[in-house]
Amino acid sequence: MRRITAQEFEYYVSTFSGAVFRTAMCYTKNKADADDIMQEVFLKLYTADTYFENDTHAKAWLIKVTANMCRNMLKNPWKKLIQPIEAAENMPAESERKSGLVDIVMKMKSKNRIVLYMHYFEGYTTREIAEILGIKENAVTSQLYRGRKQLKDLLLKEGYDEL
Amino acid sequence: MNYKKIFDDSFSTLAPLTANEEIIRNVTERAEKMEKKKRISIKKPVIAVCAAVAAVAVGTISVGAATGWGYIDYFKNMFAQNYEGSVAVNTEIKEVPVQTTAEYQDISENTTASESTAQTTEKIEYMPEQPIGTFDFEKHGKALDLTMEGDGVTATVDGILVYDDMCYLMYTVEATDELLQKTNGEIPGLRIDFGHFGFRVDGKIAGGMGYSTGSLSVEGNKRTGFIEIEYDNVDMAGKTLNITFISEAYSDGNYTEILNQKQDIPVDFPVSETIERELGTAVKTETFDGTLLKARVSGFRTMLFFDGVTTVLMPDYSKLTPEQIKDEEYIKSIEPEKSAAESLRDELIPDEKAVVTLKDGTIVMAKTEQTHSTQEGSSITTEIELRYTYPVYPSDIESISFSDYSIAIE
Repeated sequence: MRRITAQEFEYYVSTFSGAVFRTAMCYTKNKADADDIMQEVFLKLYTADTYFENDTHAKAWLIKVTANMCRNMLKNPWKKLIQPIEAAENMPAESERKSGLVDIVMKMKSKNRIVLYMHYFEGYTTREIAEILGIKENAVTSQLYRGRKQLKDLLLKEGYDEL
Repeated sequence: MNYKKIFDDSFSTLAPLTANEEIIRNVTERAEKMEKKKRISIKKPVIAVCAAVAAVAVGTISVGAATGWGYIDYFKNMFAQNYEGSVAVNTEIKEVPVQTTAEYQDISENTTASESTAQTTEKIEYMPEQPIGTFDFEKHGKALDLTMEGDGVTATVDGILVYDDMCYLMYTVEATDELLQKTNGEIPGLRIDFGHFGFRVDGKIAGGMGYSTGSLSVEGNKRTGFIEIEYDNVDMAGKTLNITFISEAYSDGNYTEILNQKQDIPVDFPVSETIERELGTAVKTETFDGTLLKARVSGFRTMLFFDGVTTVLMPDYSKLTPEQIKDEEYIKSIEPEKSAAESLRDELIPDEKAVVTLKDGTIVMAKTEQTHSTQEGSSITTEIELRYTYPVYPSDIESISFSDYSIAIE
């Protein structure tokens, strides 16, 4: 086991900062919080005694750490409290809707959203998602099903019927 | 709907606020500062306090779980009836020793709080084996004898229950001794091919498909389990289900497919219905004064609906000034410890388990999941979903017990 080199660190940041940020967005729904989480994740990477066999391994590790950090952050009652207020500030005025796709996806339950994101955007299989998030594969398939159903309902409600 | 396109379109627009170069600079600077602090603090004397963790005797793990459930009497009765054998861990079976009633009582009385906590942190859910062979597929759904031969296994689908939005299949997989040697004794389960080709209705893709599988019991070389398939609402009467079954053997860290067969199952039997039944008992808690209104019951799940009023009000954050919002201490001072909806949720489903008693005395376990809980002013509502691994028929349910409540269904 060894620490990663400065060159490796730069490579991982440039390659995976987007994936880490998007994963954090799935949980926090807030760009500032997601950005903070992303920097904490990379700090952990920089200081951890870890070594990756390949990019797949590195990406899975980063997503797993991101998910864990987000869950811990969301347990903080202060964060729970201020989130709806910040979210409300970012909401478009009623006249500006119909909502964008991101807004609609962010209305989903976070546990459904993260699973759908990992499956459809990152291309992970249900087994891989189960391993990364530390949940059972059955739970992943169930959340995929519920997530699809929830997203479909939300999209139809917002007038997206041709996607 | 093309979900991949939706996620590609929406998430590709999300980019970090901080540029990569800045992330690298910030992180390396912080890491250097941390390293300096570490070097300074390492010179100070350090007193380490180690918490001794008591060793837990073999078998007490199920006691920890039982204590957590609050179903002591239930377990006492269960063990008193010589309920022996294996217990299921979540939906997977693991053989663990089960105490006699005397051993159980002894351990129960001597289990300390710290041991219970230690067990809780294991996050292992122990669930008694579910009854086998008592569900009457001739009466509800259809009994089948659909046998499939695989490489080292014989799988039989024993029965099916169909609703318009889900179906349930109970199966048995019998493995050869040769296969069990390869799998280190692990009997493979049965699942469906999870893809658009694995489950169809009259040859057409069923929308919104999801599935779950699990084990009900293990006896000798046989595993009994279930497959539950969920799909968008379809009128299933007279349709044919086209299902591709798969079985995989696990050995040396890899799964090998040992059975892959497509079967057509005609729905030439009555489609089951989700029904609504009235609930009898009112619920009262310290922060909540409400009444169970009704239950929506199907063979796989029961939805319980609660609503009521509370005297514990949440602050109206929309009326706070920006200064007040930023003042963490002020927010803490006006915030109740928990919202009434959270209290209700915690009280109703603290352990995620429910015991469902059927009219013939059969006991079926269910997992509870809160699906919706809100508070608006003094009004609170919550919905709780119970999901079974073993099928029940709605009219057969006599009572549902969870937390400290036992609710008769009329």
